[in-house]
Amino acid sequence: MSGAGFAFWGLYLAFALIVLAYIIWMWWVER
Amino acid sequence: MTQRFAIFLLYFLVVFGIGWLSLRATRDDADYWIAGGKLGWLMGGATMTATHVSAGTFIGTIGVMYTAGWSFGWVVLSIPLGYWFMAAVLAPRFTRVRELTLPAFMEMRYYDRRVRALAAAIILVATVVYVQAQIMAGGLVANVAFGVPLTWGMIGFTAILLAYTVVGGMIAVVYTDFFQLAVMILSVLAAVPLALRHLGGLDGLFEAVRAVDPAVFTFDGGLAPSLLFTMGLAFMLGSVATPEKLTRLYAMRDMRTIRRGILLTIVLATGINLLVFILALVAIALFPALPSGDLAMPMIAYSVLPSTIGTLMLAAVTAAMMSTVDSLLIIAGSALSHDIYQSVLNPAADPRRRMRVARAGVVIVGTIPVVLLLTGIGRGELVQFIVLLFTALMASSFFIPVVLGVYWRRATREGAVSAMVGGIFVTFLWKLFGAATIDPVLPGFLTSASLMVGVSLLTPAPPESALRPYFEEPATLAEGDAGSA
Repeated sequence: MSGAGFAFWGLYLAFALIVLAYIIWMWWVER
Repeated sequence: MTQRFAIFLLYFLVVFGIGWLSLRATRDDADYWIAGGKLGWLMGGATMTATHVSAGTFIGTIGVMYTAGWSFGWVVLSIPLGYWFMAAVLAPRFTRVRELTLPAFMEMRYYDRRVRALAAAIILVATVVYVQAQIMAGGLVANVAFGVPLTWGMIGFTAILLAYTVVGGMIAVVYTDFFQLAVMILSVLAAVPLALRHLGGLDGLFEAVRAVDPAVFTFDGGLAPSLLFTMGLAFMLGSVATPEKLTRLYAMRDMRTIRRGILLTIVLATGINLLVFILALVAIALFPALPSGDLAMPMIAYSVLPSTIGTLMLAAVTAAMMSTVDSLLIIAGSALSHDIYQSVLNPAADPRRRMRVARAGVVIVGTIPVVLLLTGIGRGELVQFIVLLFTALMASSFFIPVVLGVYWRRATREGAVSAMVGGIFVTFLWKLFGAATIDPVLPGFLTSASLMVGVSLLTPAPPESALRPYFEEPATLAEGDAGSA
């Protein structure tokens, strides 16, 4: 992957990870 | 032009219709200011998102990324982190007592009506600045879409906005927000693939961008790393500490609803930002020499997209602006009517008079920004930077008194007042004279925090009656599971 592609997709991947972590936290609080 | 006119007319008719229907549902103060406190996660999350996503996103964010490059993208990841903090740390204690406004919370926790009046005054002034930025963006859209002069565009947008907000209050705001959010999502989902196709897909886009400016995808040549970091801090603190976000916590039913609503906000608000970034890249590739970054979005809507989608995009910008300004008008209106008039000037007003004063308050705070703009005050700055200044002012005045208010028993009214005033003062000073490579939020926030701690420790401890509602576990969990997280 080119440097541009790496920088571009990296941002979306980081966002997806934050959302996933939030969902896990929510499940943990309400379990 | 006819088609463009028809799309906008349809949009305004739906918004007016919702405003009219909300009139019947609005019976008292609580309905008018916090939609009765009964919102579910879908409506709660949607109104939080629509309020967050403003002309700052559709005009300003694209504008800054157009100027600064992809490195600005990382700043928006502070938005989900800010909301997460709100759901996990702040909301469980902040919502233990359901008030109607943030200044009302300040009076309750800081045991003095004058703290409430001060908070209301700060909200009024800061809101005027912010609403100005959004109205200017609205005038720009009217100018691009229909060729009307900027001045008339601004007046027209404000008139439409006031019509439904004044009549229907927060209930009208919530339901129009839902509709406006749908317009925004639809337009972005339609525009991004079409704009990409114009350049031959993602690879074509990367190549075209690199040909114009090889530094776009690097951290070189854009904004200074210290500015990026502190802008991120401003976004994060601002997501949490702005009064229009905090009152939405009061408007949602319970903590379970708040957690789900905020998940929706995180996904949609950040998602919309991440999608419009692609439009900024398209603008860099196709129009590398625009005089202002704020023109990037209108240029794409006008010259790249098919006319229907282009118009939908402009309607989305309008929706983004209106859904933010209507919330701010409610906040500023409540500061004027509920916190200053009813609480300080005329506590004995009967309910009918209170509703009349509420509506008058919204009309007044909606008219001031336009009048100022017409006299030439507040024009000319990039929309996103005004948005960031507002966020910095709110964050540096309210974040510390609110968060420490519910977590630090020793926080006193004197500490809160000096934190609010000192935070705002330093933010302004930094904006005027400080280094441009650091967002004013950082010095403002640090000042606010130090003053709160220092002054609180030097003044007598707060009375137990002010602390009890926020620090003692509620005996019965009447409001869902509030307080369990």
